[in-house]
Amino acid sequence: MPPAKQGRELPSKESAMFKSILKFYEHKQYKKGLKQAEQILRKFPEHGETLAMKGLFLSHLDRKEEGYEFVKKGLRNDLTSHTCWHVYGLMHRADKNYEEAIKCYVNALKFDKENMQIIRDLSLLQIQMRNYEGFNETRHQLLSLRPTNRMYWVGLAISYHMLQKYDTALNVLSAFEESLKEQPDVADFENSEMLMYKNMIIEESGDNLKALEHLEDIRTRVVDKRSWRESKARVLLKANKLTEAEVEYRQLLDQNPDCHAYLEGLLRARSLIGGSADLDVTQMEKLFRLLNELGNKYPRSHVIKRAPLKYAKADKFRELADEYLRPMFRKGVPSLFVSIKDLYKDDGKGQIVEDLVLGYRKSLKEAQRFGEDDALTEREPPTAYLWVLYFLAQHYDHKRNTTTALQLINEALVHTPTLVELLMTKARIYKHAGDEETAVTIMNEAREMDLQDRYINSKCTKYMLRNDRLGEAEQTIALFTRSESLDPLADLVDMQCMWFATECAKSYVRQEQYGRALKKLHQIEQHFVDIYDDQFDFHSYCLRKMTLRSYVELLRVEDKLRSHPFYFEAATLAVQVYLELHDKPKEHSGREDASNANVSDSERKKAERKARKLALKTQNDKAADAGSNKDKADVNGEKYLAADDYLEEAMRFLRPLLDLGSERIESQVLGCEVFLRKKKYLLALRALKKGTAIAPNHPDLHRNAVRFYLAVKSEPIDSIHPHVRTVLEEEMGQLFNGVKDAKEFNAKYLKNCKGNVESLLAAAEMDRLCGGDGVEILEEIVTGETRDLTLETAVKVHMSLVTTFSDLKKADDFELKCRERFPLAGYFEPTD
Amino acid sequence: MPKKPAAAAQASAASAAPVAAQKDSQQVEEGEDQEAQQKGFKGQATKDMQNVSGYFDERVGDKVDEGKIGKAMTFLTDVSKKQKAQKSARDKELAKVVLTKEDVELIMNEFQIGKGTAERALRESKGDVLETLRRLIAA
Repeated sequence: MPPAKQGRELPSKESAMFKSILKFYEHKQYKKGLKQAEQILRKFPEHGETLAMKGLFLSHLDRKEEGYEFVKKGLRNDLTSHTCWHVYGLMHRADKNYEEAIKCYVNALKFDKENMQIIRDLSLLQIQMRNYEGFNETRHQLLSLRPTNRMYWVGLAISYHMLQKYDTALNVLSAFEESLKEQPDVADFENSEMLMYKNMIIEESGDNLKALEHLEDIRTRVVDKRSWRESKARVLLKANKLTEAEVEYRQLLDQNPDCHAYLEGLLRARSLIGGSADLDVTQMEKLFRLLNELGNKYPRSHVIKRAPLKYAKADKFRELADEYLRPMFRKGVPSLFVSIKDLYKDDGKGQIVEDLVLGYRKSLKEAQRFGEDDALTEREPPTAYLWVLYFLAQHYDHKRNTTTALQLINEALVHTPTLVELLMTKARIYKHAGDEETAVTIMNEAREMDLQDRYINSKCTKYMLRNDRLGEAEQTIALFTRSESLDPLADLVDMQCMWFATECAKSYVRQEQYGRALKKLHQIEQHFVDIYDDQFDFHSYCLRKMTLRSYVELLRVEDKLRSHPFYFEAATLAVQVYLELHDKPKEHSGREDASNANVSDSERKKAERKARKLALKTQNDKAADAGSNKDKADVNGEKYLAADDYLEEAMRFLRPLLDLGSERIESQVLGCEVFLRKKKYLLALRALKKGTAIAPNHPDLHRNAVRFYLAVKSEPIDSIHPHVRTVLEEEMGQLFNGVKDAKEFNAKYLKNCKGNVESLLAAAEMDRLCGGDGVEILEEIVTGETRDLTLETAVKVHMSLVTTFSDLKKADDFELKCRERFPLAGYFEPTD
Repeated sequence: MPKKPAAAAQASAASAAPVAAQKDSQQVEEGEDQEAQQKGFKGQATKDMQNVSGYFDERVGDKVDEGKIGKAMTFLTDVSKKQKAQKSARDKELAKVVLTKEDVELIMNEFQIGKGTAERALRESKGDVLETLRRLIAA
């Protein structure tokens, strides 16, 4: 029998072994470490620290549950050991359970106040959790233990920087610099980076002159010359030292004439852009002269060539566009339309481009020249005509003039039937016209022309998903996933391929398979969680490698990670799905069963196959942990449908939208919808207020405002807290401008619609909600001009006529009109 | 048959590298753990990731003047002390505000925020509930 309680001290042999165990862990030699630990335990089976270490090794060798048992046992046997607490903290950290890990570390430090390793690990957790105050304190501690090491000085400076205490941060860095015995080598990258980081802090503190002075000071010691110059140019501009800024930007442009930022800087330095007022004639003159001069100096720079088109107007634009377009058509640049399309925001420019290119088409056809007056020049290559047709097809498609676009693209296809781009454009035209089925057929034709083209393969997959042909889509995308992976779809998840998941989710939503949709959307959310977690290792790495500026940028990117458009799209969709589920939970669960029953044979077989494959994998892969596999097996996302409170689930997606996407009207609209249903009227009101500041006449915002008004007014007097009611009434007085009821508010909105169909529809629906019938407004919509109507709006109107108003007569009339306006749209096709 | 683009898979493998590396090392049955030889891109990726996430030996200190360092350290300790004093003064000021449980709960409930945030918001409005509600709406 071993003694019931053993001391921590091991005999010298075992003690040496224990030390080597720690080394094994640091060098990630887990199996060796495990063997060694077991050897010690044979003699001292109750030794706490060894038990904990054994647990740690086990968890790294994919025996996590066992590992936890050993760690806990070790800790129980030796509650005052910093090693045991540290190990427990490491286990939590590996499970991303950072709050718990911090607690363990703090405990560990109680028993060993000066353990560098633990303090350092604690600081990493604190910065990961963005606990800047705690981080700052821990950094102070670290520095006081190792004052001669520059890494710890820099770490402390970063902590002050993050607290926006710029002066202290700078003082820390200066104190270290001054204590150096000798100036470091000129070519020392780490030192150079530290100096540039210091400059970054000065710049962010807003003291431009000091930043400039500092830049001059460090000039010879900085190795990253380009970013030194970029900083200088940028700060000069901020300090309004325009002449000097111009010099710097010219030099930068000389190094890279295709850099937008440099060109913009130069134009700003010349006060030619960025001013509050429009440029007058002389300034315009100057602008074009400058761009012309640069164009001559850097004839190969596309950025400079393209720039004048942005600023020119009317006749000047016609002249410049003519100059710009011809060589592009001659050379055959497929991306020409895409690169020029943003100019179309200015209506006049789109028309000018159209006139010009139509002119080219005519003269190319007649005389193989761009203009009738170019008789002296050589003939243009025959491909020029083709590219002109291609361009025009995209142009008319952009204007949603489907008929003309199709004529043009068909003519181009007769000219060159094998050009993949032409087919893709044709498919896109059909898609925009609302005929998704033809679109995918054509896109598939294009794909088959070039089976090695990943881009078109993905495009085709997307079009299939738009047609809800998931099986086909999965087969198609699988052609380009890694060949060695068993399950191509799992491979896409590993690769964090988000567009595919989003499109799948959209398709499931259309098919009302909400569980499956939510599964895909949660998968995207998980990708973002992973991306955030991935930064952890860089807290120590960047400090060690002194890549400080990039590190600070990384922290800032991670803070705003969920402002990414992919997240925005997935999150808005997820909130919508949860709202839908909340509004009709019963009806929906019936539907899900029905839709499961309706799943086609091939779909079902595929699901079965997948399940079988998974079962196989589980058998083979001892490592797989039970939790994640259960998750994978839940193909239908039952887990998400089984949630108790859909609105609470929606909050997970809504919060990042409101925090990071608050400037988007969609965020505020969704926020209001969720809060209204939760009866959190103050929050709903806040969303309405913010929404009004963004887009006061937005139809969905108006719908929400009316619903909000009605909801608050119909609440019994004692169901709202008197304080809340007081504030609500104050704020509503402002927001609703003292109207006497919702009907009046709606009438006011109607006056502002100005023929906008979406707004009119919202007004009609709300009129109905306020007790009216909305007939007059509907009449205006249905009899109105359809020329400016978009397909999306038309579908919305029709659906509303059928479902909200149940006015089948009007719906049919409207459908007839729309069939004329959108002859290809599948939605308006006769159903028989 | 379409050619499967190996290069693309490699490029994206960089992010999955730590996972892949771990799995690979598990498959090596003989205890050589990390010594397991990996070739080509994967091996390099594994190595790189070890550089990122591994422990490392403390580097020797830079060549510094101990006396000056000492001075700098004293200065920093002062700064940190002053900051703490300032902060606790501010906290004390805020802590003086008397809050009622009902007010805190109302704020937490209406704005779906934690207790700490709710209390702070109330304290910053000197305990005035209406004022707090107004401020939070404008936030």
